[in-house]
Amino acid sequence: MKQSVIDPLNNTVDDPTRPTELVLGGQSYTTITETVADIALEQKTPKAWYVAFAFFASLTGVLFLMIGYLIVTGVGVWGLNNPVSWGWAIVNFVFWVGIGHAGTLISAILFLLRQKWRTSINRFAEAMTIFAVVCAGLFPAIHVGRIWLVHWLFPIPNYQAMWPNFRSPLLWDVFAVGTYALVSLLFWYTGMVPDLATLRDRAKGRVRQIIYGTLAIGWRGSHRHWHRYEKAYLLLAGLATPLVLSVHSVVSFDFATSQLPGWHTSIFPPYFVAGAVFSGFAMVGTVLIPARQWFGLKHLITLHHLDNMNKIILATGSIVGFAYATEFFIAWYGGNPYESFAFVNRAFGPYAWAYWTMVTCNVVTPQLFWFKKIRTNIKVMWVMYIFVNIGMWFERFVITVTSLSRDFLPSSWAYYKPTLIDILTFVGSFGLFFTLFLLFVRFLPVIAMAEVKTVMPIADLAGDENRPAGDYHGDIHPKRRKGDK
Amino acid sequence: MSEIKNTGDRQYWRSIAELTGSEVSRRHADNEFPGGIAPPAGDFSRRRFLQIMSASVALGSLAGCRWPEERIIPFASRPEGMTPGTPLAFATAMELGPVAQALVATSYDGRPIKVDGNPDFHLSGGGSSAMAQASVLDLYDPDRSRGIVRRQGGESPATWDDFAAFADSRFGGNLDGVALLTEVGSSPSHWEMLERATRRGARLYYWEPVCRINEIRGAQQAFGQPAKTVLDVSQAQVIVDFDANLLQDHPTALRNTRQFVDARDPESGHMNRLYCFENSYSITGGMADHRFPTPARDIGFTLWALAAELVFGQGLELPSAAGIDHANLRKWRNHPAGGKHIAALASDLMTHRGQSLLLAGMRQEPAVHTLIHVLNTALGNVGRAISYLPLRLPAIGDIKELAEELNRGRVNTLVLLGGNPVHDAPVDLDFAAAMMRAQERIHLSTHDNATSRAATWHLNRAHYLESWGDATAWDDTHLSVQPLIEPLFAGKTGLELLSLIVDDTPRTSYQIVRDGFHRRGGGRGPAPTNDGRFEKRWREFIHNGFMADSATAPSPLPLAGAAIEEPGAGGDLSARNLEISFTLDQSIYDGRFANNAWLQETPDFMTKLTWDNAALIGPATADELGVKHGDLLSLEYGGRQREIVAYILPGQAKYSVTVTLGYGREDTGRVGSGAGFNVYPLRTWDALNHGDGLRITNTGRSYPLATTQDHHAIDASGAAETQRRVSSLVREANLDDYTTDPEVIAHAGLHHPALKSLWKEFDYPGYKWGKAIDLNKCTGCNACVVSCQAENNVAVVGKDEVSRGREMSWLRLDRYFKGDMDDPEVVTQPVGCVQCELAPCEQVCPVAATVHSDEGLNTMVYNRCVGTRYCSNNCPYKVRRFNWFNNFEDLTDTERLVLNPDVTVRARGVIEKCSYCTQRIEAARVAARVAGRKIEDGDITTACQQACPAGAIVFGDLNDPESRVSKLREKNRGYDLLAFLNIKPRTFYLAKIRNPNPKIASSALHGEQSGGHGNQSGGH
Repeated sequence: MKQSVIDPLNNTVDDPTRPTELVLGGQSYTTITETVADIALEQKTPKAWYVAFAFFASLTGVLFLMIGYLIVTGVGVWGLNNPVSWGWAIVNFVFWVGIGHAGTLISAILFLLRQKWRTSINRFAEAMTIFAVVCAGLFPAIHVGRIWLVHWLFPIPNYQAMWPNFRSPLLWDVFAVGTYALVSLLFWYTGMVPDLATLRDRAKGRVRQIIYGTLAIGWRGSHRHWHRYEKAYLLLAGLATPLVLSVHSVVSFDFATSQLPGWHTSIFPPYFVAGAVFSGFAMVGTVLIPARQWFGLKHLITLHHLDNMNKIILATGSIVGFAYATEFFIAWYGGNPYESFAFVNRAFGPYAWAYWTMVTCNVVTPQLFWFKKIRTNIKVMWVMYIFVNIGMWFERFVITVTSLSRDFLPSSWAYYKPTLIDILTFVGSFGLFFTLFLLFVRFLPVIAMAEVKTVMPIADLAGDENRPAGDYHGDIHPKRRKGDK
Repeated sequence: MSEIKNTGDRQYWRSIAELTGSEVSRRHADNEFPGGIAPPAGDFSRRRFLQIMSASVALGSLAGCRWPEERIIPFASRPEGMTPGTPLAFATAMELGPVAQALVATSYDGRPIKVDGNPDFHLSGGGSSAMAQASVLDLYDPDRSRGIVRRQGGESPATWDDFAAFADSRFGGNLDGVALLTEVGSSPSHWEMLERATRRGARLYYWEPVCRINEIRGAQQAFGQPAKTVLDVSQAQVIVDFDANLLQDHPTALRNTRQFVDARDPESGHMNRLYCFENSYSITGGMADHRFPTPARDIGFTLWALAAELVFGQGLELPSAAGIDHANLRKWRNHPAGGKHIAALASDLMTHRGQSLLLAGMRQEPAVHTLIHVLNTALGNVGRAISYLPLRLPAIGDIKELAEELNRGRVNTLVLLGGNPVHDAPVDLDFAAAMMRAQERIHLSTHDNATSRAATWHLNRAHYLESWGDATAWDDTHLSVQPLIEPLFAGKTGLELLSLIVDDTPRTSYQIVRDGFHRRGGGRGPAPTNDGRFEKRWREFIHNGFMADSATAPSPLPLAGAAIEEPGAGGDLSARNLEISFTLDQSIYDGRFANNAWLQETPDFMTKLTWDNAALIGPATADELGVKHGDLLSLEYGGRQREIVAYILPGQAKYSVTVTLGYGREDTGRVGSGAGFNVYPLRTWDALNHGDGLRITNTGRSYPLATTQDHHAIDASGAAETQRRVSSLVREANLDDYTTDPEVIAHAGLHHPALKSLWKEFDYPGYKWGKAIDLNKCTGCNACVVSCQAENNVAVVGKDEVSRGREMSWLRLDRYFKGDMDDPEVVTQPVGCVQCELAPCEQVCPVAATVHSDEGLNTMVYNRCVGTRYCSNNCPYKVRRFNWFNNFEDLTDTERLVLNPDVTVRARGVIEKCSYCTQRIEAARVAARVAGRKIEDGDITTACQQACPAGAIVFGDLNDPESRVSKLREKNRGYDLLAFLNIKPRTFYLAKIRNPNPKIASSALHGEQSGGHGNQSGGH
């Protein structure tokens, strides 16, 4: 490397004359395969994994206990009341859906934009997307009054011979989140097929061979396979890209198309999408940093990756901050006294504590990422990710609850407080998220081996200036793949 | 029956052997309806109910719709005039203290489910009170006494036969040493029976926790004879209410309300004017053009100051027999209690001589009433707005005298006809101990309460909907009381108990009332059984519920001239010498409705408090005392001490603390136990209504209050915003401003761009239902709220849920204060679903569970609802209610009987809301189709409209230009709530118009205090 690097793992120094190296530590194809595949196949499961799994699995148990209690007793076990008919369940839904954004953004949009650095984090991010969407999908389903009839939200034949109401944003949600979950899952799985085949080939036990073999759906690495695979991947990326923007836009319609002051704002779709990317990246970072530490992936998930992510957080965080300001400006400029009060009430009413928590976490915190020292300091950035996560949860809380608690007629105003059941359900959803995540890191290829290999210097086609290093798309040389095997 | 042990809430007969396991039960089984129904253990079973139901329907239908004979036959074939599933209405009457209300009760397949005012009776005009509305639930109170208990040594169940045998041997025609303690009722038969008892040597006493005796005594002082005050509010242009609560606590409050609001027609350019002096905000104070917060004690001072001002400031001549010394009177001129505006008030009264009305309340001393009578006479109001009905008081003692007699050992048998004096008698009488001096203590009561437990006999009393009886309306009109159902728990009436005691051959109450009716018609002896003309009159009486033209004509009474006692000046009220004021509760009266879940959950008009009472303290006083809303206070009064929670109520008179009676009884039952604070232990004989010397200390603890509005403390920015919004939500103007600029109301709303639709809207070719709510008429009496609850099976959720903001009421009364919090104006606004034409709820429901009908109803399809609650979020009026739990799960089998079968009982997890009483619309549609015509205006009356004594709610077809609602729609006072949202609500409001005295309104002080309501109406 040309630049004088004290830390061999620091690749964040920009040298405009050379592409940044995305895989460090003199890795070869073999070492990469071994690093990643061994996590799933060879490494003895760390004790810490068992401890963590026991803990989060218990939390998942709590989640399902809470859901059971809810179903048996009624939605009244939550702290909801008459003006505030949506509380933590919807806040959590939007929060988790938002988190689910980073994965597809990284996989699809960054893929289409040829951002090579995405390769080592996209598997993580996509897995996180899936798990976040699982958590998200749980909440709207359990928050309805008659959970046993929730299938009426789907346009399926029923004895009432009735369609759902296509005018309702909640129905749009069903389609938007459903499509997103499906496409994300397909995208994740499709991208994983070559790696699953690697695991299949390296697996020792019979059971594992069968399972990985089944999941690898007969992948043999032939030209035709690669050809089909890359076409499919590209198509799915194209399909997923609008979804990244549409899901949270549609989720924001739940609020924006209603007429509640504080919800009825046309800025919501872009503001929600930016917020979702913001929170999604923060959550990817939150889980990525410990994972790269514990599973020895610092060579693959380098500081440069984190630095880039932090830049995105800075950008989207600034958009979010700008959106907050715009909302206030329009509330004043629009001249609607009900809307202006909704915003004054957010900042100075009974929920001011939540509002200012949100502002501190979402507007102030990311601005620190202007400083490279902070962008590249692992510990500091992890703390900041946590702040962003908290802030983004509060953003949804502020939007949902403060607007509802004080709407048009002051006679209906009320304060909303969650109950223990609310809190445990939310905490339990983290249990579910991390349980799934722990299973993922234990049993699946946590890094897209095949993709990472394409961004290594040895994958570069020397001397061809029209081929920037790592642009593997449609371009994998059979010779190199042979070496891989 | 009691051999079957009551082991739990729900016990059904598992076998006939179990039922007939005891001797007692066997006797009942042999004789299917032994003068009532032997209750099975635990809850009343459905099957048993059906037996009674069929029996009583058959009974009723023997000759049309009445009960001419007490014979019961099985319901084997359907009698004529009775269609299963079709409700029947029966006239009856309910007594509440000395006040009887003529009612019509609706019976569904033999079970009464709804009570309304008798529309043919002039004192109700179809309107009713919240208590009358809720009284039907008391019938099904699961905690009602199920039988007779003999408490001698131990406690053993008994039967009416046992008691009859006991009475026979104990009384046997001689009632010496017997004392009868009665509630103050109006039933002529009751008083006749009591007089028969006195003729046999018994002595009579009365006790009524809240009593109108001061009014009667005041008239006695003024006129030398007791008299009732009868009002004709329509004749009064200027009304001054001294703590009388004319529109709610007065015996003819329903008619007063109607007449009062009818004389406030702003379109005519002429309105009456109401001044109100009171310590706590009443609904009358809320309707007043000028309200002056005045401690209850100072009302007398104020009245004297007014009299002095009238005489010396305005030159009013007092009649010669006024009993007032002019020199004494002069001292009262400019007394501070009169306030700044007394001269303006006096001048207004002088201008309207003969067209004014002064009225004092039952909590005021007799002398205050005497002066009121004198002033009314001097102002020439007597015979117009106020007149007098002489009253013959029986020889009767009060409870203090009874306690003395008991303590002297002169009573060996005490018969208590209803009431619960052990709990609610003045604490200094120590009635519980005095009562034990009597050897036999017989208590007739609907509940086995504290007095019953102190008695040797507890006798099970029938509810009025199970009873034959009669009553007297305030103008002496004779009312009939008829049962709609056999006594569910074999109770008997007071008449029947008295008959057991005084009659040689005990009669049923049916016979007693019939005999009395016969005698009052000029007959002698028992009523004939085969006199066709008598029978016709009798049936007419029962059918109509009242005897037409039986009212006594008021007679002019000359003033007697006795000197009127001046109010004695007590020490100045201060934070260390507070006034305590006891009032009856607007929900549970004196506590007799404490086990009525509907009333417990009905928010108080002013405090919006449910399930509790509180010590009402004004903001300034609270600041001085260092008391916050919800603090638990220790009240020390007369050496006694009770804890009660503080409620900071705007408009409460300074240094006056109001507590309402009836709460906090430990043995109330499964509904009312634990609700509120018992203040009877602070109430002494000398200060039944109010007294000073109260001291308050803050215990430092707090107590959760469940209110349906302002669920939580409102911060400064929220309070300021509320003040900004109120004038556009609840619009009002002063009469002068309105007359000058009739469009003033339209300008009071939010200014917005023209409202346009993006598509062609549906134009409703058929009926187009709409509702008008006239805020100028609405007093906030809650009758509509309870009526809606009864009609629509609205669930009761309890204090905890209310405090979470989960009350289920389909119709609520929003109440806002305006201006200075120590002397605010108040406005009230009934809000139910307004049935928007472009309903925001409908667009957001993902399963199309709330859809629009072609008549404009925003209908709720319960069985389609999955409960996303999105509709509720998008409803700008927040009138949608969600069933957070299964709200009907805990209803006992008896309570379930009150449910209206025409209205779905909502499941857990669905949204519900006002339906414009769609079941009544459908019933009218069926009737109109059968008759082959269109539904006409007036065919449909919604439950709220039916109950409203003020006629503030009008429902009808907006497509019919002749309908009342269409005509109201055209008034320039009409406005839509939140019209700028372009959701086109079908319910519209008519603005409130106040008629302040220009002299007072223009005074700088008041202008400042009231926030200049004249200016607000100019828009903003």
